[in-house]
Amino acid sequence: MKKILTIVVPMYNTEKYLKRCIDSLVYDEKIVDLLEIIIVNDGSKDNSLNIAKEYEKKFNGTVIVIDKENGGHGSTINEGLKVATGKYFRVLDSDDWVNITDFSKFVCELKHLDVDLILTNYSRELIFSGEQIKVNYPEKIEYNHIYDLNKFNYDMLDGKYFYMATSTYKTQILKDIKLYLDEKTYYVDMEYNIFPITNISSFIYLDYDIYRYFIGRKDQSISAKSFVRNRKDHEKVIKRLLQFLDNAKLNANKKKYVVGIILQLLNTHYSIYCNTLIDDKSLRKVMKKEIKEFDFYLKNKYADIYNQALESYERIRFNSKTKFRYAVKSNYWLMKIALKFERKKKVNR
Amino acid sequence: MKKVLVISWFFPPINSSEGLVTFKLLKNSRLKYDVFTQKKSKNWAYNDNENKLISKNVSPIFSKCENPSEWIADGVKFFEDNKDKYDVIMTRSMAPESHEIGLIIKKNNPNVKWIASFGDPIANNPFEVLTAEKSPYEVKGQGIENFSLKYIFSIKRVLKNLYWKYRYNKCKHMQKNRDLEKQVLMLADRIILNSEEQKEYMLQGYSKEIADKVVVLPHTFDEDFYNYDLDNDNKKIVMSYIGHCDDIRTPKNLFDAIQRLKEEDINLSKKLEVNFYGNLSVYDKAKIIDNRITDIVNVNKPVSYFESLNIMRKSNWLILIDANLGKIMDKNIFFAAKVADYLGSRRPILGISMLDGPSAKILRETNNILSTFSADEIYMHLKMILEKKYCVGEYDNSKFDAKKVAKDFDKMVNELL
Repeated sequence: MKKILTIVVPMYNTEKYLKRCIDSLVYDEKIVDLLEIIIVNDGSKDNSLNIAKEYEKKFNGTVIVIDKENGGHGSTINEGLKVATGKYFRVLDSDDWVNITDFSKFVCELKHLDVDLILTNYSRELIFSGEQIKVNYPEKIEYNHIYDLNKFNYDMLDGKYFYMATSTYKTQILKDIKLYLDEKTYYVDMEYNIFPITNISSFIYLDYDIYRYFIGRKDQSISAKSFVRNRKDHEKVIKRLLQFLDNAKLNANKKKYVVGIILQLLNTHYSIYCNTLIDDKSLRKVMKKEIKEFDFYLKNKYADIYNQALESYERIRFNSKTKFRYAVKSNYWLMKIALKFERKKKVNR
Repeated sequence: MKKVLVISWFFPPINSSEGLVTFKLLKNSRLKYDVFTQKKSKNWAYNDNENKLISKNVSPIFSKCENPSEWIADGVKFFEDNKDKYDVIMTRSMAPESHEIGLIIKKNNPNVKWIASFGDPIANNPFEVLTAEKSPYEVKGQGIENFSLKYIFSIKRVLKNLYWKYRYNKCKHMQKNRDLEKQVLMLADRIILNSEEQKEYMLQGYSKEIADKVVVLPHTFDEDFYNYDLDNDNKKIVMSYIGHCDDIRTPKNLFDAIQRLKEEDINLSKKLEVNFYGNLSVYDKAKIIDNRITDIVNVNKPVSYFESLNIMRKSNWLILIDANLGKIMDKNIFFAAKVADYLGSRRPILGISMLDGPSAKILRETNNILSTFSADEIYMHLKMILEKKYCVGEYDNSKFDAKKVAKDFDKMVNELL
């Protein structure tokens, strides 16, 4: 049977979560044959691979396991895409899962669709409280309406963008642009969110709450400590996106969208350096040097973007004005006090 | 060999998890025991058990004390009057006063071998940390609501904070427990803990010498107590939870999952019956009504131990709900004794717990179902269970068989002597 949806499941040491992830995908027998689930083992050291192979055996023809050396999250998507045969393509991290009811309806609906990108909603599952936070796009964007992305008013997104958790791409588009995500690098989901935009013309927003994004593990790449540890990766991704902005043929509309995302990333990047309490003094010194260098790079090479960042985000503006005097040793409150102090000084002058 | 004196505030016939854990171990041991206990206080216990919990090798000695502080003096006196009879004493941690008795005995009689057995940690008990109320005048940990610098540095706030701490001195109580636990760990000849996770948690900052005294003995089930002929004749899928729930160990997300099941698939929900036996907080009881699931969820009074085992056998699935300690730690270090009894019943278990900890590990090892506290995930598991998509099958529970664990215990006592 022709596969309607390929789901790539990047897997690295997730034996505790994998069953939940795959069980949620294969829950409904009616849709199993329509799915191609590619579990890409990224050199796991725990029992994940054996668990994955059990599913491959049980759901022969639906579940495929690829075992490869560790190459990072991006490498698993690259590998999955190479062998993907489904009409549509999405990624589901192996510690996350899907809402079984909506996923089933979604797959059935895919059979009748022909668009480049399908957006759905997702929920954040807070691991330690059991709370759920639903993430929807603004109401301005109508459900079931096919939009032309070349003419789409991105302001309607209210700062949101096409996330890995919300996006289902037409596989051919990803193959056509030869999507290749950086390997051995964190935060490459941003590349996945942005690179395909060059070739996307149409998208539809469906009222399904599918992805369950499991948040709160300390070893997660979005935890504060991980951001500090992997800050150079974050910088690398920003630089790659800036390069993409230079080289990709984007109309003004799409360009505005990409710039908007890069500005958000810059805000996060400056926050890593300027809003993190670091105990290690030597690390503070190194980080201060790093952010100054990055600031210099951005100011000189991408003056436009830099100026927009200054206009858009208080934190970037403040640190630039104070020449990072409070960087890497201040928390939010200290920075607020320092900001007041700076303003007063200005008035006195 | 002489007898072992066990000092435990709770012991059968009182129906308390603490006492039952001790009883199952002693009953299956080859040694002889006198158990110094009491039968007046039923705090943290549910009534009495029927008189089936007796064993030839175990003789309870009941103190007449009504509160744990009198119990200390009484326990020490009992030992001093009978010290020739015993080579070894074992104390249990709930209530911690039993360990205080052990401590005094050990200090007065250094040659007596002392085994200190812990159910839960006494010091830094995550439950206490989680329920410890913060001073509304405390800056650290942001107990205060007024963040103005004037208020933060005001003498009035500082004095109010000191008075609050004096008045509600839970901190003092926690420090007392820390001191007690430290002394117990230092002076006891052997320390029994129930899981590796508990060991790791309690021994932080202690030397290897202390760690070498630790023996990990898990909670157990006793095969002799089950009626394996019992089976479920109900047409519905019956899921049972047995034990205590409160604001921290709460089934609220399970109730949300059941509500969603009822809303989305009413026919499937009609196949489900969920029974709770034991305490449920008023909020959770109200939630059953608010969620309109009273036709699915039944709340029953606490039952005796043997009745609880029969209920387990008559259930299709057993539900385990652990405390969510996520605010303060990454794993749940508690090993609920009911997990062992559940395993003994050989029924499949749906565990709602943190992803790391003894329960999580056991459920994974025995191929049972483990869910996080996410209502969405619980909902998924419920559907899988009701549609019979999960096949837990027979699992190996021998690690928790009281006979096996008691053998390890006997070996430890013999080595000690």
